[in-house]
Amino acid sequence: MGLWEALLNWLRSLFFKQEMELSLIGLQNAGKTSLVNVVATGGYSEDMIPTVGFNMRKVTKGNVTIKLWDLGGQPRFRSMWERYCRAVSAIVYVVDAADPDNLSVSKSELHDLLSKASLAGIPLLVLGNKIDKAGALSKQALTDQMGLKSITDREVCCYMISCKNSTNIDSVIEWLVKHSKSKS
Amino acid sequence: MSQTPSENATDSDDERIEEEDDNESVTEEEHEDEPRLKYQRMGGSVPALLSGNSASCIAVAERMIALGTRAGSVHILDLLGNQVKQFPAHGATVTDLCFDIEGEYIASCSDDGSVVINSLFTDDKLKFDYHRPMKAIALDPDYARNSSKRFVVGGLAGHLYYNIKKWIGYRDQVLQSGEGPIHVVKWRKSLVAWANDEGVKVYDTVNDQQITFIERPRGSLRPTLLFPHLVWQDDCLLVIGWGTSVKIALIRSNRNSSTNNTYKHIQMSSMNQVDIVASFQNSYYISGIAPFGDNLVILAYIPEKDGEKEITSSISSHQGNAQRPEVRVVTWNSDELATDALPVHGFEHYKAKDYILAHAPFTGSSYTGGQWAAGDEPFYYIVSPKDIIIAKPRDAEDHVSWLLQHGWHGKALAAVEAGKGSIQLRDEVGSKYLDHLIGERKYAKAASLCPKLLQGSASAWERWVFHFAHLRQLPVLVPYMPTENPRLRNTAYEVALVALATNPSFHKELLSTIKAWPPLIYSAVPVISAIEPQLNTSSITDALKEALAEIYVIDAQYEEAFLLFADLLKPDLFEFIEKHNLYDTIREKVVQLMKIDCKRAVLLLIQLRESISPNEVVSQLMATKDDSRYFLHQYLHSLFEDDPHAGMDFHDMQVELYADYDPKVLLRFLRNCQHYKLMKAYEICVSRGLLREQVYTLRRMGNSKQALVVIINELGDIEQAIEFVSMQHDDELWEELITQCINKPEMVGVLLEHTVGNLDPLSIINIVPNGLEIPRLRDRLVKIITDYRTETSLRRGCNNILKADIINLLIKYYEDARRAIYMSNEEDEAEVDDKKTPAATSHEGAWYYEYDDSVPENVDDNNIATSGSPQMRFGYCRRLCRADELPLKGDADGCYHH
Repeated sequence: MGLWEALLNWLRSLFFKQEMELSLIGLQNAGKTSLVNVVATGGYSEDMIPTVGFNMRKVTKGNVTIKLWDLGGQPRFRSMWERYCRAVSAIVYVVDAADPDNLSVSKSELHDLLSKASLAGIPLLVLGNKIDKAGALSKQALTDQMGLKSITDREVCCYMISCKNSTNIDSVIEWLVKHSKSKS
Repeated sequence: MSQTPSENATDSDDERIEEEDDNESVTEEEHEDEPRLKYQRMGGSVPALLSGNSASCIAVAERMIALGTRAGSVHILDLLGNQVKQFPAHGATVTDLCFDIEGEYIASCSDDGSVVINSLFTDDKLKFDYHRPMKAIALDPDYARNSSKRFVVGGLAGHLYYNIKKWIGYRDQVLQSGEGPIHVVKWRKSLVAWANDEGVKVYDTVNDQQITFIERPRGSLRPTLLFPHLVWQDDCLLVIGWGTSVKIALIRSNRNSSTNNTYKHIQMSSMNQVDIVASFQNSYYISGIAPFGDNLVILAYIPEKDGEKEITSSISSHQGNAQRPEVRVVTWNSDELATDALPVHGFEHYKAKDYILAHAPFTGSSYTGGQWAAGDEPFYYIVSPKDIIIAKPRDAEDHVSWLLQHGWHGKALAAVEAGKGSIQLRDEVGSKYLDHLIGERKYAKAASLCPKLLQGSASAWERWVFHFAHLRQLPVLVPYMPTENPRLRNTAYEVALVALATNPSFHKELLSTIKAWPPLIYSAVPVISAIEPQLNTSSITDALKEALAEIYVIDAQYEEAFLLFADLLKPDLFEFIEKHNLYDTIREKVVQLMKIDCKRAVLLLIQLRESISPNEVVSQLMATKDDSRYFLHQYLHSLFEDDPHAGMDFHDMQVELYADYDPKVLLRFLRNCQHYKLMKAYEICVSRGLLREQVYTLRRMGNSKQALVVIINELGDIEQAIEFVSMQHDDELWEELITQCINKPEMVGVLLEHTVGNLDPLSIINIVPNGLEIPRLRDRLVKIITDYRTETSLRRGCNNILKADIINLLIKYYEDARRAIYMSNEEDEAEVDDKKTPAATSHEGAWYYEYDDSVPENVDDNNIATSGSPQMRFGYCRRLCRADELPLKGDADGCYHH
């Protein structure tokens, strides 16, 4: 049975192979690299070093190959975001939902980025991370405070996740898979 | 190994023609063209990386950069130079690097003979060893997808290996050998182009077929000094830069049509498919070449000025004297569009081949076209052993800042506005432009641009307001200052107003500004305190006064404002007085009010007679020199009209004023007023020749004779004279009149007509001297006679009436006296009154009425014969009766007794 399924999966991956490219952005310490790790391996670590430049990962979920550009979130790297977001299938914007102090910066960075003509129409997935922490915002509050309602020129989706507890990670992957492009 | 230029084979005809077109000797003048590129030294990890190591090669993918070093390591950097990954791949200098098109693998080759292919997303790593130094490598662009995992590599050994993964394992196929070292290999789609010492060859991997050979350009240097550079501009354009020459080859692929053809046929046709579309020579060595839209970017290495023969020696011997490398933008016709010398660290020591020019592959939709979309510009990387410089096409912001640097602020501003640049940029341009203008003392221009440049930024406005103030040029800015959106701080406006106030030439502006600005935006007090000291100095102007007044109004100091307005003779002052109820204040400014609007002022002063006495008004009006007499006249006139006794002290003066300004009214005044001195008035009238007034004053003085003389001699109005005389009831006057008239026939005539009832015509006629011709004497005599008759008959009738009345009354008296009379109380008396019962004791009036009414009936029959209209007669009759009224009433009892 298991062998049969593996064979089917292999066949499916041969004929229905899909791939997508994602860029993960957000302020430093929002949990982008942790999210990549959780999505890729399911492992979570408290001790992360800040990403310098970017991390590149390739994750295969079912028949979808996801190429992830996990970009550094510190201010000096933010000017690169636009370059790395070009022509991706979707932009994933990670927000630390338990850090209200940085929300306004996060909001302005997001809106700055989306105003770039080269990124027009690319779907946006906003993830409110760290909902395991006390004082984390609700989805509604996050949507309001990030001004997501004002973004009308693209598809916008918002999930509240916890990388630590793997909360809602499945929905995220589901959303991502839905937005993948079939291989040409 | 190397070949001299003379040994080169002949070129094709095409090339010749094109080379003739090249006239590279013409160097363009160094005029101020805007550069095409901007430069930036790569930061991130690069400085640290290159401090202990030297860059030897570079490859650029869409999202990252691979840097090879002389130590043999391969570093993956992000676009800003931050190290992302590092592979200690080789034991000697990394000579070439290549990404696949997806950016998933990086291939590197080295002088140690090894070739390494690292996967970037996984830990996969392939290593091949070719034992001889490898100089060039190209991965199949489709390496990540294609299972055959192909790559091409070549080096000093002169073999070009074509490695393909087969079922058994990796197999090398030698595409070419024996023509000297392979210097460069580039793979695009199915085409592989490489260069050895002989020239450039292109190989089609689909057909396993070499499709062209482009000979090495004549005159190029030994390849050891200068490597050839190959760049695929797009799928069929190959750019070759070699030594000093550039060629662009167009390779037309007709693979589809040739699939079924024979091997030989393909070879034939494919040889013809290559066109050299551009070819030119340069005066410099090409250290790197890359497409730049429809143009080329060349990294130029400027050789020493020595002759060509000495180049080799000079470069080696004068290593410390090398010039800066230059980035040149060149068209396909070798026209230079831009030249920039780069200050690379340690450039003095570098040779042409130490530099590398790499460019980012075109991404997205612009990948094939060779042209880039907006915001998708190519990046160029100029690599020297210790330095990496990023060159980018200049964008709109760079354009603007370049314009700024060259002082074309106006253009910069236009560019910013056209491009709707970012707010920060616009602010920067604005402040630079203003600085510039101010530096050139074009304050007016600077001020006029402020609204455009500063827009809605209150803080910027304030900064500039104070800056202008500091330069003492604030007045020119004031007209442009916004009052709403944004509204500045109070101080800014106050400073502006004070600045205007202190300079007399701007007082008009100050006034208009104060009127234009809403009063709420500044507080009036500081401005007032700034202006007030000027009030009594020579710098005061009307505009300043008015401005101050306006500010007083704003500050609700209406009285102060009024005083100033009055001095300025503001026409709407009366409304102002009314509006702010300033009636108490006007006493000081009577003259000014008069000057503004005499009528209204007079009206107002008359109304306020209680609070502002005529004395006060008059003394003020008297105190002023000009025009005030008329105002005085107006005032006194109105005052007199309103109350004849109010201004009695001034009536003397008034006579004179009337005589001067309104002689017609003077007579009325003289009649109605009792407070003037007659003698003085007379003198005035005499001096002004006002006859009627003279007559009146004379008469008032009792000097009737004199008056009559004046009437007759000066006025010549006999009718008035007669009237005057008849009113005086003075026979002497009549005589005087007659004597005065007697010499004037017309007057005598008129006199005759009017004598009836006053004078005996005979007395006149007697006096008339003989021979005097009196016009219409006959008619007049007839009239005198008829009048006389009428009078006589009237008198007779009246006598009759009188008699009858006496009889009647006597009878009535007798009747009343015969019986007793009931003495009623007063109410009954009133009743009696209503019933018009004549009561002799108390109601003479009623009695009189009855009597009066009865007259016409009685007289009528008697007077039928007499001429004249009934009214006249009646009137005459009544006059007669009235004349007898007093004795009639008074002597009612007397008559009775009689």
